[in-house]
Amino acid sequence: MRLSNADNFIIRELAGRFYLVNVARRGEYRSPLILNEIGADIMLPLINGGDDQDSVRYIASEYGIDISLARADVTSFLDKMKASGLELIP
Amino acid sequence: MSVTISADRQLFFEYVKKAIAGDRQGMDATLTEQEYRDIYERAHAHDVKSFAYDVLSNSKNVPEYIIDEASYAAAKSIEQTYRIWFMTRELVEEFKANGIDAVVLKGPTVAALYPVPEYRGSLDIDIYINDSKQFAAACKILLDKGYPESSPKAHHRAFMMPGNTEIEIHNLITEPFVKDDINKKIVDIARTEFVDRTMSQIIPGFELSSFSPAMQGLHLILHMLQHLVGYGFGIRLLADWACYLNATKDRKSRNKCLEYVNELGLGVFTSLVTKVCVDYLGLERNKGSDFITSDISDSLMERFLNEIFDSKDPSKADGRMVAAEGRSKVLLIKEFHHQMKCNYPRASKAVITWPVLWVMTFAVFLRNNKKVRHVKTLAVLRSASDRSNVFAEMELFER
Repeated sequence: MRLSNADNFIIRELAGRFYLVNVARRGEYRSPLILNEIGADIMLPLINGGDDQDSVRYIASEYGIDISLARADVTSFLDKMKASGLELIP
Repeated sequence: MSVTISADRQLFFEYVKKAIAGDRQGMDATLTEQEYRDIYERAHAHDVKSFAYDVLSNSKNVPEYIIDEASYAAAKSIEQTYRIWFMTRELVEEFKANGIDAVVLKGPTVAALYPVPEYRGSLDIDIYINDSKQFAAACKILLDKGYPESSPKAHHRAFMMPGNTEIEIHNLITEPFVKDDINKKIVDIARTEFVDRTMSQIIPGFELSSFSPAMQGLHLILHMLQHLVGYGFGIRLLADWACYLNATKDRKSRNKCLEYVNELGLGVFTSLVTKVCVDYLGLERNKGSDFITSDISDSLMERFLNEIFDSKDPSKADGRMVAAEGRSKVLLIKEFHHQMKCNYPRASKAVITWPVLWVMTFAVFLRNNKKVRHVKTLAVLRSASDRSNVFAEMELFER
């Protein structure tokens, strides 16, 4: 799974929160999604053009956890992001 | 520096210095709860509260409730700021599609000069349009959208967008000053510079049309002066200037800005604000020294600092605190009359209305001074006279 138009996204760390900003968005304004640090770490490989498997590997290595646990966390998180309107493509 | 300032003001300067340094530094010493409280309240009054979370969460022994408040306030301001930025780009692009060329004034284009642009919040949208026909067309677009127009000013027309966001479409880059030759010069500079407009990157991937760095610098100076003369002067204006000087490295742009400043007779004022940035806001001397072309007396510095701290909250002062650009009573009256005309550009075209408009202007002046400064009428008038003396020492518009 990849992030559609990944190049348009940046993550901004501001006042203890992480903002996922679609800088190319036009039309009706929608607030940037606010993430916690783990959420930002999951999104980072995706905005760099990678896929969900890259996120799984990154989270497993960054947090020193088992790959299956990382996969469960990433899947659950990305499901929530999709529900929030983020366009993720197979 | 040999000007004595109180400990609480020194602490606030230290806060602003850390805030605009952008490297998440905390305060140097451990402060008391009251001192942190005072800093936070002053940051609110001077519109630099969005930086508080980064500074205070990296300071020692800050009460948790202040950190929580700062976190909440920052989140609210960041959300508002992003909204304004995106709405601004949307509008400028819509204007462009309709053959209207525009540049964004203040707000995001100034925020771009800060290490963390989002912390320099925006509350409204300011767009400058050089061509008079295009200016009228832009206003029509906003009216056609159903955005109600508020009373026009001499230098802009204002409309209310959904979400209570005001958009000001400027036909002049500043409210006119009392001297016509200066106003004409400013118009000429803006016209020339409009041709050289550029795109400023606000955050990666997000750009807006803006004036050149030289013109941006001049606009910041004029904007500061406008606030000093008419609205009250907050620390954020100085933070903008410090960030401009810090971010603008191109020598040609700096020299051009300085040239404009001198052409308009604003060398002493520019030296003064730059010296405050160097002495109190952490601007490295070598990044400000080219803009300090006049000696600034301790007495002028002290009175200017008092003016900054006394005016407290310029964004809420919706009227003017009259002060003439010189010492004489004639100048004071002339300035008062000029401000009446700026306040009521349409009504003041009929001379017969002037006595009523003078009374209205005077009433607003007294009310705002009482509201902002919490002082009695006599003190307000004395203060206007004192401030006129400060302006005389700045030799404003003397070339």
